[in-house]
Amino acid sequence: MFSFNQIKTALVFILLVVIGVGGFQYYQTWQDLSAKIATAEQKEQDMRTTNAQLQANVAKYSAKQKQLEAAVDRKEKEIQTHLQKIDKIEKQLEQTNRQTIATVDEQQIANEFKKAYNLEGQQNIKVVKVPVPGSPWKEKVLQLPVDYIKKTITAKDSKIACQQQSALKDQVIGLNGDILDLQKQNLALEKQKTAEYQRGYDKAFALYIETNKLYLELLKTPPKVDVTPSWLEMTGGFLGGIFLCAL
Amino acid sequence: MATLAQNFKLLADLHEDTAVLIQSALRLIDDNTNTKVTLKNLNKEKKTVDFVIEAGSINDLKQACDYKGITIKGSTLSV
Repeated sequence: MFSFNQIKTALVFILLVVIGVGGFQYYQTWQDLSAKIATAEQKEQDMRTTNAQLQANVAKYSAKQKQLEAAVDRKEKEIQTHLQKIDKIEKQLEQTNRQTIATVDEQQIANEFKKAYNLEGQQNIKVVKVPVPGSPWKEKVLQLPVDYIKKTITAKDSKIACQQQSALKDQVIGLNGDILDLQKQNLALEKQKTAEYQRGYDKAFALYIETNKLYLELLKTPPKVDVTPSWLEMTGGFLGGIFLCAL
Repeated sequence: MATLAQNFKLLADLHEDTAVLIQSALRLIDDNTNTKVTLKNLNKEKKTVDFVIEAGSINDLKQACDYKGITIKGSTLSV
């Protein structure tokens, strides 16, 4: 059998081995946890920095967006002002034309004709009376050199072209209005999309911070695990050791 | 009884092509006859106007309208 000294030596040896291995493992674990804590804290700091930069950029873009919206409002007011001017011009034209049509005095009509076609001072334009065929009546007509009539023809052609241009411009304005409406709808959808992303990001960031906090707490104070062997295991191990030494 | 100016003013509400033709006929009658015509009941959509002979003969109006290419139907003028 083993002497007391032999058993004592063996026990001391086993104890030293257990302490050495345990100490080494504790050191390794401590080093590993410290590295993980440092990494987790650094990542959280990085995330906070990124979040702050993102919030700053969002604030900057939101301010720019407000400026653009204000510019759009100003342009829309300008459009309304121009539309009111167009309406006013149309009403003035209608009123002027009605007055012209209602004019009775033939000399006034002749003078307005000269003025309209830049023929003022032309003495050969005048109201004369000409016989009505098959009747004793005479009719007042405006006598003027035949080539002057060309001006009324070109004026009529210009008026027709102007009306066609105006109609086409109205179509272009209408199409531009449609494009503007579509852009507004698109912008509204973009805003909704951004808001959805914002909500998702904020939620994810908050969840990350919370999870990281729990993770750090776990790393700093890990759950205690009872690694001490039970009495039964110790007794078994002790007897097993004696038995092995006795062989 | 409407004056020439009153009739012209009423006709100014019609399309100018129609208005000036009727005005021209009225001026022709006014310059050459003693017939007096008063216009009323302007219809912009139908481009017509009713007339009343206040003095003189309707034949003067018919002759002037025929010369100008204006249609008389009953007491209504149209172009």
